[in-house]
Amino acid sequence: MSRDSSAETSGHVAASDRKIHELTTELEQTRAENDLLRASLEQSYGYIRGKVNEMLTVVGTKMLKPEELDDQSLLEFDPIGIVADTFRHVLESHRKLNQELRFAHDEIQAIFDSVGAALLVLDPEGRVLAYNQKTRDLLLRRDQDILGEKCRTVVCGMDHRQDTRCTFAKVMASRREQHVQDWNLGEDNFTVVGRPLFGEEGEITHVVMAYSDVTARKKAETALLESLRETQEANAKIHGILRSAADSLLVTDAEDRIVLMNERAEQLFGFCLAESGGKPATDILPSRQLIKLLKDPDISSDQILVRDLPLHKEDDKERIYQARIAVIRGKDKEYRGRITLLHDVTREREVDRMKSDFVSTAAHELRTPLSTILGYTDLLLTQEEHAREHLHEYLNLIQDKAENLAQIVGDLLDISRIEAGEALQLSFEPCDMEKICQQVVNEFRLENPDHQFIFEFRDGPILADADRYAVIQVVENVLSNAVKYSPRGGEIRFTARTEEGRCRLSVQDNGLGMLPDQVERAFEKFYRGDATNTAISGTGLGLTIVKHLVEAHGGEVALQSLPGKGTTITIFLPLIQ
Amino acid sequence: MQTEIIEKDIRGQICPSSLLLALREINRNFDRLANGVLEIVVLTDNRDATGTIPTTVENMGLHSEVEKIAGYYRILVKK
Repeated sequence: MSRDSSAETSGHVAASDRKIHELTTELEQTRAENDLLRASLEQSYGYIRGKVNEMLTVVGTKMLKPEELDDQSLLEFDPIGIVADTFRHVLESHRKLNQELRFAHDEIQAIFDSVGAALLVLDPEGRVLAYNQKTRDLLLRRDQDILGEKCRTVVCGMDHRQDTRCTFAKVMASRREQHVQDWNLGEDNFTVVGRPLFGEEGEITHVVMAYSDVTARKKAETALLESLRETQEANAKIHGILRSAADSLLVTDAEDRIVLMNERAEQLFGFCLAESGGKPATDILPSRQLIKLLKDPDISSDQILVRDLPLHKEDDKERIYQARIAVIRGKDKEYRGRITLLHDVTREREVDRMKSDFVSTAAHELRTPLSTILGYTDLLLTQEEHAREHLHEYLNLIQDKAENLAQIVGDLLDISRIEAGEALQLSFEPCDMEKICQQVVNEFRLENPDHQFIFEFRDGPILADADRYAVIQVVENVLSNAVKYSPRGGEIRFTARTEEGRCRLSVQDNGLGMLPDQVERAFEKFYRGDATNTAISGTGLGLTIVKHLVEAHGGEVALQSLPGKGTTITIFLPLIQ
Repeated sequence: MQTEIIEKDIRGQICPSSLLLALREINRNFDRLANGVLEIVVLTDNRDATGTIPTTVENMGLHSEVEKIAGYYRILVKK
């Protein structure tokens, strides 16, 4: 090898060594950079995992473990992106929620300011946190800012713990809503409502107090109660009047429903107002004629329709009622219904009928003797020769008939005086009843020679303390009936005795007798058992006069009768002391 | 309008993966869920998820109903 070749080789080696050194240095630098990069990457993954876990903790779940998701998958799965998106939605949701809450707050504030009640928001110590304008108007004595003040100081002016009616204290003690009625501030009256608001731990954070001024309402209630009381009193009076009314009263509304009826009407129709059940009166009233009147469209407002109606009461006896029907109209002239008053006129109509009967009977009774008197006087005046022969007989007949007339007129005058309420002028004296009866019978015996008159006066002379002429009239009237209503040859028995310190005189005949309803009415004026029988004379006043005369003596009269068996009239008069 | 229903079966997953998988599905379809045209049914056998999923869903302004079915839970997510 040449010297030049060797030198060249040595040069190459040196260059290679330098290169190796350079490469080694570069490798070490690269390795060091790689270590730095690896450390930085691990730091980045650690940071990412840390942040992911922080976020997961916020949403309330467990941390993400490396064995669950390796570093490479961590980037692909992108949990930060998922949680970040979730947070974005959560924030958006909360933003909307806040907006709604703001609206709700504004609404509540508007209500708070405009509500008619005084509102106070208190903290648990009773300090005022908020209040509305009404609180100033209703509760505060002066224009002051009460925020932070204790309500007992600014509202009550006293320590609420001493006040058993303090609503705030009740709310704090009960932890429930409380209502207090009739809470007074000065002369004003309030209804107070206290309501607690609770925090997350269940503690009371606020108490909302509402004070409603009910002063005007209270006054109105008091006035209303007074009006109600007056109305009830008036109602009671009206019901009292209706209850005591002798007539039946029925009020129907515009739909013909019964809205009012008194007890008399209930008795008459056999049902009460509650039983009518709001049905039309025309469906439940038993009288077609009454229904027709209730539906009569022709009654004007100022007219009272008056009609007589036959109605059956519960005992099924027909009675006559006078119906007076008036239309009820409101202020607007609208038809509101009818008021119907039913007055029992059975008795009046019967009296009318009896009066009518009496007129015809009296005319008959007066005409018969008058005809006789006129006939004989005419005979005496025109047939002198014939009359002369029978003068005494004719004059007796005329006198007899004139006495008949005098008797009828006397009866009429007696009943007229009794009707007028004039006291009978009685002259009391000892009256021997047997003698008086004998005297009367002697007069009757002449005209009724076939009748048998039997006397049973077993206790000896019976002296009544009575007016002699009245007793004679009583016996005459009783005997007159006994003779008239018994057959020729009939037996009339006089029985007299003392009984319980009184004189008891019975006059018994075996004549026609009477039916029970005739017995019931025998003492009524103008009543005659059979008014159509003109063959039997009479005015229907005899027994009426007997009853009045006997009762004027403090006595009594009784009548027993059986059809076809006869009649017994018993008279009780006081005995002479 | 008929409501579409997507069913996401994440049975076998435990927390927090079950929550993250459910949230990823909900986020992808949030607008349709919020408009009421879509409902998502999540099937999970992880009991913790029956607490975390409904809580997060409620915070997002949605509603959820949890129903226990034999061996797993059915969580309905809707407007």
